[in-house]
Amino acid sequence: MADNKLTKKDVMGAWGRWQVYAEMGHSYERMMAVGVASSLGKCLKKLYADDEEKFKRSLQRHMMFFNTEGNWGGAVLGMALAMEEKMADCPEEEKDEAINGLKTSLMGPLAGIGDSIDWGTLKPIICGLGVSMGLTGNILGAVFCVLFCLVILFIGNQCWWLGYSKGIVAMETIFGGPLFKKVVKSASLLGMYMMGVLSASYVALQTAIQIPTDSEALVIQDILDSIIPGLLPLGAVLLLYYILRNKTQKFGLVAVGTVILCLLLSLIRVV
Amino acid sequence: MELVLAIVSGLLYFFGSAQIGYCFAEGFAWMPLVQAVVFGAITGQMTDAIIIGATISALYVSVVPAGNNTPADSCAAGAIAIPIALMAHMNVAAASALAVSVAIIGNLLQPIQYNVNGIYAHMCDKHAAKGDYKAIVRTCWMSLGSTFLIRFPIAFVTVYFGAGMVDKMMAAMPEWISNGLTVSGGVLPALGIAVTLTVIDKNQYIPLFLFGYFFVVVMKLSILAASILGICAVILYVVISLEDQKDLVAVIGAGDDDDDD
Repeated sequence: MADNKLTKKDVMGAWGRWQVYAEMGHSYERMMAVGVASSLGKCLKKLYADDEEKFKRSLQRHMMFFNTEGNWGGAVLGMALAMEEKMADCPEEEKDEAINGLKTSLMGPLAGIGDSIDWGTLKPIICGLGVSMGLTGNILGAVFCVLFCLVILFIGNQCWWLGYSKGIVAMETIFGGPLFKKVVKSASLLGMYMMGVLSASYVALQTAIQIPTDSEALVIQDILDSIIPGLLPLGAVLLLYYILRNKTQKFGLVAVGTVILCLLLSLIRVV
Repeated sequence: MELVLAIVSGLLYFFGSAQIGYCFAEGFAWMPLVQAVVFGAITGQMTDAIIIGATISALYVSVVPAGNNTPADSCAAGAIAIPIALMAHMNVAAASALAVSVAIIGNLLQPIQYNVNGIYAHMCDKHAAKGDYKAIVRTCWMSLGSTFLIRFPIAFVTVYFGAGMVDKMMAAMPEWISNGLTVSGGVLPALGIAVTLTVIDKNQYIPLFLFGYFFVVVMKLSILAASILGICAVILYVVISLEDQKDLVAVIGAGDDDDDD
């Protein structure tokens, strides 16, 4: 049985890679997933050095849709590493459920916290100070902005390590016990709920169809909103889910088809 | 001079838009005040550059990149407007106005960049299935290629030939394409979420998904607010079900005791 452990150097190496890759391959469909897989790849390789199949599954696990704030959200990835380490010998379905559940549940809240603290509070304060100095032509103002980078970098560093170290402690405490199954289940439930919450925030679709009548044009989107608010974005998610479950598993094809469909619908002014 | 400024502008815009290095790209290449130091050093007009940079930065200092929305392209505003303003010796007000009008180029380019990046995500799917994480990292770097082609030329051309180029380029792109790409930017996350739902594969929890969705839409909650409520509800579920389990064990245990002789 493999008993590979990650050292602090491994874990923080992954953090360094995350800082570089986090937003590099950002796409609408998977958002930060490419960054996640690139950052965690080396650690996962170490954990699953003896088992190629498990390694492949773990990489695929971390190619799932992921979006969060880069610094605070690092805590989730640290925790995911801790779970991968402690659950290395578990069946894949359990790992998928637990780790996907953890990531989907916490990426949203940490994005909210991170955006509010780092970008909504620290940035206006520190960079605001820098800007007021810069308005007088003082080059120190720019130094303040670089200082802001260093502050949030430090926060990100601490959050990542905290996520991993506390994750290890938590796993050692509850793993294998009766509480663990409950925690995994709640992560699944919370993850499902958060997918709904994130759909409402990230998915946007409106129709631009207007039917001219004698008085004012009939704006179809207003009618839809009065029946069920947020109908079209939800419809998009459920339709794509239906297609993926029943028609095809070729994500790439569906993605290209979606983009082409959006362009065509835009051309005929439906969206 | 114009050539050097144009090249530096293009590189800064590319570096910031590709976000190579999360904190440093977001906090440095997206901060007109810091970009200004670079341009000030090149043109020798450091004080002017700093003042212009600070003025433009002031517009964006409270802008929060939340979730999927980047409301304004402060990277373009700094990287493109500052060198133009310095070369033309614009006053601060004119530079600000230029920055704002240049920043809309982001609305055009970001949907292109993020749509194109979808290609790399799918390539990485294949690499993951083969267990080749080094190829995933290579693909991540490869994405810089297309990002460069999307971002560098426009910044370079605008700084070299003048701000009028932005309007020309915005006009050159047919409206249905730029609108279509923006729409696809709203629909593709639905695909990512649908893929995750397929992997999670628990149809019985779909009502929970719908609950989360409508909760946010109807109550107009932020992600954070909805998460807090969700986390409280889930903790409650764990606590209550654990208590029920204890009660159940106590009841069954009591039943067994009756049978002991």
